[in-house]
This record gives sequence, C-alpha cells and structure tokens, in this order.
Amino acid sequence: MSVLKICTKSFAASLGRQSERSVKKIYRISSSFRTFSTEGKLEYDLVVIGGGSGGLACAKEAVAQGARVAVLDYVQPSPRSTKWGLGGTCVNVGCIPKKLMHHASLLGEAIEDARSFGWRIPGNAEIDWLAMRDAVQDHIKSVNWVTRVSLRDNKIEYVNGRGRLADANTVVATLHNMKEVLLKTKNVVVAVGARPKYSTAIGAQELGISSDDIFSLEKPPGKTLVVGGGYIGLECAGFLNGFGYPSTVMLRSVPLRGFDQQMASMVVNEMEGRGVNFICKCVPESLSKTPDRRILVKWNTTPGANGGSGQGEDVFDTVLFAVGRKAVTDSLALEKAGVETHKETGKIFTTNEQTNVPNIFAVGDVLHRKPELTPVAVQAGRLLARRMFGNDKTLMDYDNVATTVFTPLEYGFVGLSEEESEKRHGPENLEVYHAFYKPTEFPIPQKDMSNCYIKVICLRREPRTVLGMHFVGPNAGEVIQGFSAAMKCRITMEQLLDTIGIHPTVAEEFTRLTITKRSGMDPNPQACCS
Amino acid sequence: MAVHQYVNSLQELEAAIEQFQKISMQVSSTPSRHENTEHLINDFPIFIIVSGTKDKKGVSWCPDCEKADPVLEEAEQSLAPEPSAFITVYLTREEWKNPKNVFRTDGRFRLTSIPTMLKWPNREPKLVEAQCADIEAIKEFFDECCPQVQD
Repeated sequence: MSVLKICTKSFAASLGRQSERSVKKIYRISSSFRTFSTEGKLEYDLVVIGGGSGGLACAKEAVAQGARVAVLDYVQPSPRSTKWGLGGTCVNVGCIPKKLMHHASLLGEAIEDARSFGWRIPGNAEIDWLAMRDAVQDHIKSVNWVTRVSLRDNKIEYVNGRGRLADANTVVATLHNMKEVLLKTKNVVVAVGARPKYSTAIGAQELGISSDDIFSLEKPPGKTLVVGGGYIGLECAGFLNGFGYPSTVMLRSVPLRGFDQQMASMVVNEMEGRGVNFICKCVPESLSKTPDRRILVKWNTTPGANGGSGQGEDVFDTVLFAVGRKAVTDSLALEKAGVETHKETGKIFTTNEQTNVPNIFAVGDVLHRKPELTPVAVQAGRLLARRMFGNDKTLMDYDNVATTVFTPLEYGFVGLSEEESEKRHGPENLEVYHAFYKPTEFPIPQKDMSNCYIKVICLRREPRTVLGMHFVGPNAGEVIQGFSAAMKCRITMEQLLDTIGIHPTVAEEFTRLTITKRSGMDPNPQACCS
Repeated sequence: MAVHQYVNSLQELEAAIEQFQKISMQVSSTPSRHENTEHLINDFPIFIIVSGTKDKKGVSWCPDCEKADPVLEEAEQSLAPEPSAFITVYLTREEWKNPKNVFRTDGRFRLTSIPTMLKWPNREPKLVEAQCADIEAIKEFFDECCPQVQD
C-alpha cells in the first residue's frame, strides 16, 4: 500500500486560478506494479527468446499462421550500464542509429560541398553531439514503441524478462522484480543475437566503450581510438571523423577480414584521405586514466605479425572496442535441453535453423557461420515460422545476400569476393572486369574520386555467370540492392553488359564495364559518355 | 493516484511543469523490502495530455478526445505509476487546426494529432488518437515510460 500526501494548501495556492478544483482528493490505493500471472504455467505453441530482427519476424509470422506465441526480450546492461528497449540490436545499437549517424556525418560534408554549387552559407558547420544523439535516440524510442504496439496488435505476449531453458519444452523468464514465470511450449526459437566483445587489454572493460554505448553517449566522444578493423569499427571511426572528432583505427591484422581485400583497401584509403589515422598490426596492451580524466593507451605489435606501425602510446578521450561480437548463449542454460553450441563463439549449430534438438530452433546472429544481417534474420525467421506452422517448405537461401559497409565512402557488394572466387573456381576460370569511375557530382566540389571503383567477377566459360559484384562509392547500398535480385536470377556477364544504364548515375558503371584485369589495360575512365 | 492540472496554452503548460518540478511528493517504500518508511521524492513522471476543449455541455469538439476521456481518467486512477503528475492541455478547434500551432511546430512536441499523451520531456514513446482510449495500450505505455526496476 502506498500513501500519497502532498502539501495541498501551498500547492493549491501556487496554482493560482487553477485552485482546488484541479487538486484531486487524496486517498489510499494499492501499489500498481505491473502484474503478471505467476501461478501455474502458460502454454504456447512457440516461445521466442529474443525480441530482435529475427525473433520478432518469426513470432509475427507464426501468429499469422495461427500459433500461440510469446516473445521474451531482455537487455543486459553494457559494462557502461547502457540499456535499451524492445527491438534488438538493429533498432537500438546497430543498423538504425549507425545509418542515421553516418547520414548526419555526410550531411556535414554536403553543407561544405554546397558552397561549390553556389550556396552562400555563413560560418562553419559544427556538430552538436547531444542534439544529434537526442534526435537519433528519439527515433529509436519511437521504433521501440511501434514495435511494442505491433506485438500487441498481433496478439503476441511480450515478456520483458531474461529467458533460459528449464528443459526442451519449458522456458523460464526472470522479470525485473526477480519473479520467475514458467512458459510451457511446444517449440522454442532462440534469437538472442550477440553483444560486443572487449579486448583483454588491462583496463579495457573499465575505461572502454563499445557500439552498445556510442549511439547514446552522454557527452561528445572527442579524440577517439577505435580498436578493431571490421565493419563496425570502420563505420564508427568514419562517422566520428566526419563529425570532426579526431579518429584513429587500430587494426590487429587486416581491415574487413573475410571481405574482398582489394575493396577493403579502397575503403581504408578513402578514410585515410579524410584524416582517419590507422595503426596497423597492433593490439592495445593497457588503458589507464590520466590526471585530466582522459585515457592513456599503450599498444604493441600483434604477436606473430611482421611489420605494422609498431609499439606506441597516445592519449584519447574515448576508446571504442569493436573487436568482434559474442553470441549471448551462455546464460540460456541450453545444456538443459542438450542443444549443441560452438565452444568458443557460443553460436548454435543448425541445419535449416533447427538445432540438434528437434523442437528447438535458432535464427539471426546467434547462428554458426551465417551472415550477421537483419534482413537475413528476418527472412530466415519468417520462412522458419511458415515451415513450422504453415504448409510452406521453402528453405532459407543464405547465398548471394547483398550487404553494404557504411563507411564515409560506402562499399556495397553481393556474391563472392575475388579471393573466395579464386578458391572455389581457380583464377584461370575467372574473368574480373573492373573500372575506376567519376561520379558526376564529385568534380565541382573537388571530392576525391581515386577510390571510386567497381569490380565484377564472373566465370570465364559459358554461361559466364556473375559470381560477385563489388562497388565502392556513394549510395552503395542503393546501387547494389537491385543487382542482388539479378544475381538470384543467375545473371550472366552478357546480360549485365546488355543492360542499358541510367545516365548520369554511378550504378550505370556496372553496365559499362569493358576492361578485364587479365588484359592489363588501364581501368581509369577516359571520357564521360563514350 | 495522481495530481492533475488543466491548462489552455503553452505558457500555462510550462508554468505547470515548473510547479510540479518544484514540489516533492511523499511516498512510502514497498513494504516487502523495508519497514514502512515514508520519504519525499522529487523525481516523479509528468504526463502531458493534449486534448480538445469541451463545450458548455462538457462535450469535446474532438471525437477521439471524447472517447479517450473516461479511459484516461480510469488509467490515471488505477494504472499510473506512483506517484505521478498529469497536465491536460485543452486546445480549441481553431487553435489545433492552425498548422502553425505551437504544439505542432515546437521541437519539444511536434504533435501531428490529438489526443496525444506523452511523458515530459520525451517526444517518444507517445499515445495518439485511438490509443488514448485503449486501456491496454495505456498500460503498455506506462510500462514503457516507467519500467519497473529492481531495487
């Protein structure tokens, strides 16, 4: 019971002409904690653990197929105590805020470019970190809310609690008030995703942040060290640098490991040209606080590496670790049902999203050796629900999934890298078409075009099926999307070159490719429209 | 249980918010955790409802506002976090229909429809139109704004 007393007299007096009519009578009422049935168990056809891209897509489709579904979602606070709402990584600390901040960063550049096109813009454009962050967070909160409303509209029970297995048919949800709810279910889908890893350097967890924290950082990041050369590290360093915060990227080995390395080097060249500092083949050894509350980082050459930037130290305002993500399977008690996971990564082994336990499935970033992308998780989740509760037998196709790295100059691709193509088919069976190109809008503001490059890898023998398409340039995501549909139709080089381009665009460059690597000819553009 | 003020303009709203922010509400702790001690808290949620004015018969020109009224009142009595403060802003039809109305243009609100309920000072999450008459949606809204946390 709680009693609410306020000083009615002085309160009423201070209300002026509102006076007593607006002061309600005080009376005792019982506490209104959010109640949840804890007696007995609740029966479901499907319990989804994880309310992110994959989990929600699966749940909504399952309900559409007539199943009774509950979704559990819970966010373990980051080491910096950052938390967020429903929707998973993509909505809260991934794709959405990333793309917004990348866009915000490019807008600053556009303001400067505008002068060359005749705009009179007084003064210098400066980013207000808090205003930008608040705009982004506002948007995220609206998505959290829309997601929540959508679950209710779809009659999906939403439990804001931490899930674990008691056995193959029982999920236990631990709520905020530590109460436990038992959910009996015919099927389980694990869609818990992953969270950032920290380096083992001394002081990393205490003083560093991760992508979990950057999008809601309470003060401007200042001079930043990003540890990690994967797409998360490069994208973050990219937009931070664009905002005017001096940025450094520390790479343990190579940038965008596993991606086409020639394209990766273009991306890095572009970032270097924009002022991002790269420390190569090094790992941080220690982080410590300086007297003026900044962070002193000491680093050394990666064990076993040759060359690189070598040992060093510097002081930063922010250190962001982007050294990989670990699947959040440790606390799920998967062993209670006997679900097999990878010892080191914690990821779940599946065949067509089914684990070794027949009624337990998984989708999204938690899967072993599958692309960690929202649209992949969404499609896999949807198809899985249709197979589980509908009559559809369609399996998920994980091949030829297009993706884009949203660095300042973006890199979009679909299909295989040149390295992977060579591995599978042998270099003698491949033809690689390539070209540098000049976006029409770049020369006037004197933007650097030296990294605007495209590459198409195809088989040399008929039919010359296209194996991979790679693009570094502006709006790479928009450029590549349509081509992934073409790849799905197994487009050949002849068909691609028979396609007429839209002029003037950057995407049309794919239809103008003539020079192969094998010919040794200069891939630089000669003239505009020839 | 909540305390409620009714205002007719942005200036009055700002004044009401300031007043609420100055007062302290006395509340007792959850009995299961401690002995029943009463203490003052300064930090309680302030919910703002923007609605349509009522005529002499007490009927609003805004049909959704009319539908939402009794539901919001019920929600305030039985579902609102404890303690909390409510401020209803009444706008006339002319005021609201004006595209330059301050509640449409001011960056703190940017309303596109009424009734709208939000928790000051956040623009999101918010309840709009029919959601304000949906007791389940209101329950979710309170839970989203003021999630229960472990002590």
